[in-house]
Amino acid sequence: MFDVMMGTLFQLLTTPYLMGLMVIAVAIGIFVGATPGIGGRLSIALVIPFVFGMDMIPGAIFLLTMHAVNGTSGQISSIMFGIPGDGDDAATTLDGYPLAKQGRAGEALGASLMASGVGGIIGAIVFAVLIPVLEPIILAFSPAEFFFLALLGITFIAFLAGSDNIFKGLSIGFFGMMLSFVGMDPATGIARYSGDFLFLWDGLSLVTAVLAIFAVPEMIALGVQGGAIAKLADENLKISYRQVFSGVRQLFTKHWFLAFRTSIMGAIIGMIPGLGSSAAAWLCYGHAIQSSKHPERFGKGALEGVIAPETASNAREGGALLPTLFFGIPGSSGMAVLMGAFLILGIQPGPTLIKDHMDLVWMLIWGLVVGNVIAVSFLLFVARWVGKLTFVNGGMLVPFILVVVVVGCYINEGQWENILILFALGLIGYGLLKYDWPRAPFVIGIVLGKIAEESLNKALALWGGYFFLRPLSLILMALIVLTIGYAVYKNRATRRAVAVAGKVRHAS
Amino acid sequence: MPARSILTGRVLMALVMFLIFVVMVGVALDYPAQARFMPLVVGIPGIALTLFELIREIRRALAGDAATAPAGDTSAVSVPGDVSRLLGKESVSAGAATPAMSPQEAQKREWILLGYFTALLSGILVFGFWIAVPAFIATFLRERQNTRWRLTLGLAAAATAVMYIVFHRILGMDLYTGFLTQSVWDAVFLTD
Repeated sequence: MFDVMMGTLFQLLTTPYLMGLMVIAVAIGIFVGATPGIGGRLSIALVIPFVFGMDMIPGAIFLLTMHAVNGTSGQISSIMFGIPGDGDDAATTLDGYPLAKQGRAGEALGASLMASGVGGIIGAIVFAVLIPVLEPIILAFSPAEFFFLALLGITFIAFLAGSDNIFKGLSIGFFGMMLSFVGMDPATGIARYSGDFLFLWDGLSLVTAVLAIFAVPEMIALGVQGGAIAKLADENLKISYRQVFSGVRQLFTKHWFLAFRTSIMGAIIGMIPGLGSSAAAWLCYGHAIQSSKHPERFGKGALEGVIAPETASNAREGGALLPTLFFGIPGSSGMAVLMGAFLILGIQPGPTLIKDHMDLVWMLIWGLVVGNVIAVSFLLFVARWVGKLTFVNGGMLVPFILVVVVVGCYINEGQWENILILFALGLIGYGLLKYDWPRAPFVIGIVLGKIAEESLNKALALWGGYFFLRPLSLILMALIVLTIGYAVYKNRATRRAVAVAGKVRHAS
Repeated sequence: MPARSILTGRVLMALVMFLIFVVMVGVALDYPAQARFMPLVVGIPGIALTLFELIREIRRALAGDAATAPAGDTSAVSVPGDVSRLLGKESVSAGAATPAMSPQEAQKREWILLGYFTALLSGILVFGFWIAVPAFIATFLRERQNTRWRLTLGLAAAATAVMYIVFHRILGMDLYTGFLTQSVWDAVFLTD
């Protein structure tokens, strides 16, 4: 294993093509992370068509680096303008923005960017350390377990929608699964849901489906919203490098142990699918408050309040990669889209990765480490200018991104009919966005649907109808039932609490 | 209660999802046993879930609780429960500078945007990428963003040039030329 580990690092560092791709991915990741309206999931969906023809390793490295960098650059607007791009960045805003208002934006940026880099690297290390532990478990999985894992994946990801939305999440996951059945049935040779449309016989284009459900609705919403997010005076943009490096120094001298702890916590939280993408950042922010000798400083400009969520949210990516790659259960909605992209590149999650493609696994781990190093080194120098991207008028980007979406949908199969599919699914996707139906489970459904069906066919062939009586299958079934039961319980508890609060308000 | 009040957007969305499952399960019933097994295993619970959601939305609509947040609203990021208690706040303001818009205005913009999206796709199908894309970008920028003519035409030309260089020259891909454009081209140049 050591040979593979060091060999892949050497290969990565000495291959100009791979390093060049990583630099491009870092640049794109920074741009999309800092530009309002383009989130991590959307950016991955948008670049899928461009990596379609790439080999497995370069394509995966490119996508993973971009995904890792997205979050890092998003914190810049949180600190400078108090504008969080997503839930993770919101935690950073609580102390980052007050620091900026005190004229310490540079310090906050230095500490948070470096914390992000440290978190990303530790997250990747945690992943690497756990591989030998998990290897025998993963290899013990048979088709029966993979069938239940696929169902568990959808159940977990439905949790990402929040306990109140779990039924919607499950519905959308199942909708994705139903669409994965479009095309020729491998067992019977029957063309399902394809009618006389030959282009559907090979199945629905995953690229088209992902772009339609994620990119189109976001662009329509951005167009409706219009305008730039930040219209503030740019006094917060005045940053000196001395301040930036003072923040970096403080991270390593005063707060290194906090950064270490929250990185480990973030990586472990990332491994638990369905816990929510911002849970790591918020839980570690809470930990920073609880473990501080001066908790009263939090919310008013404490540097630890910036360090803790950033280390955690970036370490989470390393952790989330583990269930994504080895079990086919994405740890977050961003990972869900990334997993779809990996499948398009021919990377099949599961035990085959450990058996046959350990080089790819190590390459991805190193990709996370090196990508974070490149991103942080670059961002520390350009952060002050990156912040200006927040002033970009989101509405101006809409036509260009829509064009990229349509081109991407067309070129991956060269079929004009996919444009019609994009239209139909795009409308459904916008409805889902507008009426609060979670969209991440769709990707899991469409990705895992095929795997689930193939696994089920194999399991039935091997063990007949008794495949679900295998011990691991029973455990997974119990997990599915527990997950749904817990969601129902939490849903009812929340509704009761809301009803009680309403009665109290009414009485008063 | 007038029937119209039940047909909120949320109810319609739930209805659409329910009908999708019903139709897909209905179609699957005609397949051989092995081919229909998974569609039924997934589709029947899908019907149950969406029916549950549909009933829930109708009840909400009847109770007059159908208020929705505007699409794509990122102006506030909710704080998870435990942390919110810790911090004593429910959400973190994103400080968005975009002024609040009325539901009517949002609805109008939505239709306009959907119209543009439809026009782009129809334009590509009829006229092909090389004509539809620059026309769409120029129209959108000029009409929606009120950019100056020079900038509008410059950006439309630049986007088309990038598309040509990246997809046609570098990646060697032929973009779709459209039903009409191709027919006219074939007629004029008498090509097959």
